[in-house]
Amino acid sequence: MNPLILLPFILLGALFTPTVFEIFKRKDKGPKEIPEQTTYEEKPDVDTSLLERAREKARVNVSGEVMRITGDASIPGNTEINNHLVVQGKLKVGKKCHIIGSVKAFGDVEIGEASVVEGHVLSEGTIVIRRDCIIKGIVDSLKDIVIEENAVVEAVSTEKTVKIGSNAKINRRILSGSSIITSLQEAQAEVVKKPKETKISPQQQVAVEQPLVPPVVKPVLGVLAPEKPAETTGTSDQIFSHLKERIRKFDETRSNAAEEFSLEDLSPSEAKVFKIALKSSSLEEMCLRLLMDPSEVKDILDGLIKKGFLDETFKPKKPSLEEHVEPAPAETASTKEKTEPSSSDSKKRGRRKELSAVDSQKSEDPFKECK
Amino acid sequence: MILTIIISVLFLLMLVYTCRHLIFTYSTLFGKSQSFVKSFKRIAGVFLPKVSILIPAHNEEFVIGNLLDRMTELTYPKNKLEVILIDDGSTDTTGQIADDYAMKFSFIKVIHRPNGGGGKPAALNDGIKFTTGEIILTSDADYYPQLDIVEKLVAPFVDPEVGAVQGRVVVMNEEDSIVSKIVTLERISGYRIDQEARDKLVLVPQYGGTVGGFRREALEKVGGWDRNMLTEDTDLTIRLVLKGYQIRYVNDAESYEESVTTWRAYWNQRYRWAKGHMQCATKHLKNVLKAPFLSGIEKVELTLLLCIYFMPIFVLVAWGVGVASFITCEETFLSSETMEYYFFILSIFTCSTVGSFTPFFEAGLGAYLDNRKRLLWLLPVLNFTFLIMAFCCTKALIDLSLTRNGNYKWNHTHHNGKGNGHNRKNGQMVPTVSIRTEMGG
Repeated sequence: MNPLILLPFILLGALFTPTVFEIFKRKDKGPKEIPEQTTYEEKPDVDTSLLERAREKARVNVSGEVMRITGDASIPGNTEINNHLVVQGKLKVGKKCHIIGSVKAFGDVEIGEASVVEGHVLSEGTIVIRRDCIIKGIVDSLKDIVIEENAVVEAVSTEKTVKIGSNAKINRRILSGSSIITSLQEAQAEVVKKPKETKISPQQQVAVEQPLVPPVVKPVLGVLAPEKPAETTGTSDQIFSHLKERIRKFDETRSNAAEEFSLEDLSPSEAKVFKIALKSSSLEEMCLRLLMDPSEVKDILDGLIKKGFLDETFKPKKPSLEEHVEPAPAETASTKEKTEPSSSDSKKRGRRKELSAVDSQKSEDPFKECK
Repeated sequence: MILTIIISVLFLLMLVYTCRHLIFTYSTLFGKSQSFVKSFKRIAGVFLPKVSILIPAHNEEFVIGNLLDRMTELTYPKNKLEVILIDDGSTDTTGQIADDYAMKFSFIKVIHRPNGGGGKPAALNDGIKFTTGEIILTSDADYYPQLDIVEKLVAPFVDPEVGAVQGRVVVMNEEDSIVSKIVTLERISGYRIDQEARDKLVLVPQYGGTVGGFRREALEKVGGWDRNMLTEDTDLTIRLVLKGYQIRYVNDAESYEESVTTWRAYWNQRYRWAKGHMQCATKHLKNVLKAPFLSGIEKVELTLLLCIYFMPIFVLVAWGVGVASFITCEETFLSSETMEYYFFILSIFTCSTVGSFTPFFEAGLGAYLDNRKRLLWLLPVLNFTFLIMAFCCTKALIDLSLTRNGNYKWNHTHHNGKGNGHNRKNGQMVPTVSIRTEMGG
């Protein structure tokens, strides 16, 4: 007899021995807790979009209350649709449309002004809800959601950013995996940026409860928040454009100051703080612009003062060649003035004095040059 | 030679199912979820439509109190929830217990069908008439759901294409007997791996008859449950898919059940499932293959799903053919002196070497992922259960061929409340009867 015939029985015996132990295991009949929560583990990715597209392609032929569109779709304004919409691409809905159902798209979605959607809006791409829209369901996306002014939405849910315009209303819940940006924050961000990038609407209402912006920008904000925005006239537009021009020039003069200094000796954080210091007039303003802890900013400023880039009032001070050559880094501006000047030194000092005179003029009246 | 050809064909069929289950297992481990699954998780609790929960019950006095207690504890807003218990011709105190709860809680309603007893589908069809919810969920009387299960099950309906959802069934009384342990393994394999994979792979998860729900308009469109089918849940799944709806599976929407504990109950349950599936296969296979809006992969998967209970019969046939080959000493590609012995032995274990290896691998992986590693020792026992299934399915096929029985009576397992009697508050077991007594009985 071939001994190999015993092999399956040996394997079976090995397999079933633990089974026998388990069968005759002592049973525990005590009370048991039922877990109230479960955990869901994310698994690595294997793309199934091809299968999804195949299914969606096949589903297009189904008739019923779901209107399925392959590819991108654009719905003209003043259209009423009495179906759910499923679009395998981008969807753009025109102005004043009425969709009696939900909208689902695999691409970006844009709902036109004053449109009404009686259901939900789902998308894998960006969703833009234009002004005066009414969405009576949930707006959900895997990317950003933008809700413009006066739009009304039941709830918002996304893994990325939600941007909410002025007077937009979300009745229930906002779920954002990243950040929620309101129109106030956007206005502040635009003012801090270069003026060319800003577009200030005179009709924009900005609710200012606390002055988060440093004092130098206060007057601008005061103008940006007119008490009666509904009564804007041509005069208001002129005032705003004039102010806008002044702010632009003011920022230009300040931003050019950084180009005069050689920042090679500074670390990236020091260079960043230095540039902000040129534009700012106080430590608080610098902290707000940098969004850093004041103690950190103070440490960096102290370092810059020691290196001679700033004085004790955080004003810019161009470090001279003499300071770099001389081995004693602790010299301050005051000690330099006390030393006897050589001819070349006097010329440089004179140049420095001219620069400092210009700087002092600017600090006295920042708007003078803009007039 | 003829026998060799038959074996080869059967081998190929088993290979197809092997590949199917291997793909399912791989997908569960490494697959990416379908679109909007993350959306559903975020939206759970935000999307709050009106929901009706249908609970058909026939002689469930030992368990119905637990379930109704649980319904009162659900976190879903009660003003948007209604629970309708259908007392279908019960001869015990099920109706009285339900009435007590209905008197106390306004969102619980009871429908008495004294002339009922005609099966679950009929009870559910009657129950739909009294529902007012936009979403209709179903639950068997012996189940014990999670507190936030309604929010989780309802979330996928945000997608207008979704017509039905299915949650997960977890066995709670696995320690009762070896049978309950085996059923636990099978449940884990079926839900944690099988259903999850079908959802991830953009296939068709199956509505399992409980812990699931439908969009009301979808249910009305397909005409509700079919009384003529033994497995009305599978039948409803196919009919919904043929109407173009999607079915989604929500793995973390768990409900706990009391499984069968005896071999006789196991046989009865599996017999009904096998016969019902075969009924569905004969009814729907042609429509599935002809459906213009099912993708090719979906058609293949639905075909394999409908024919899955024929596979044990094929294996039984393969065994017989193997034995016949041995007896007739037929020349095969495996012929040699040693191989003949192996051919005889392996013909008995063909299922475990080819056909059932991947389902066992599936069950093992599911148990591992569920952190129930001690159940892995029981995997070899599934060989015997497959042996039982082979004979069970053969009997089901013969009975189906000879008779045309519909689902006109209740085919449920006797429950003694042990499955969800372990989870009373403060860790103390309180039988259902005492609740009724406290309520002034």
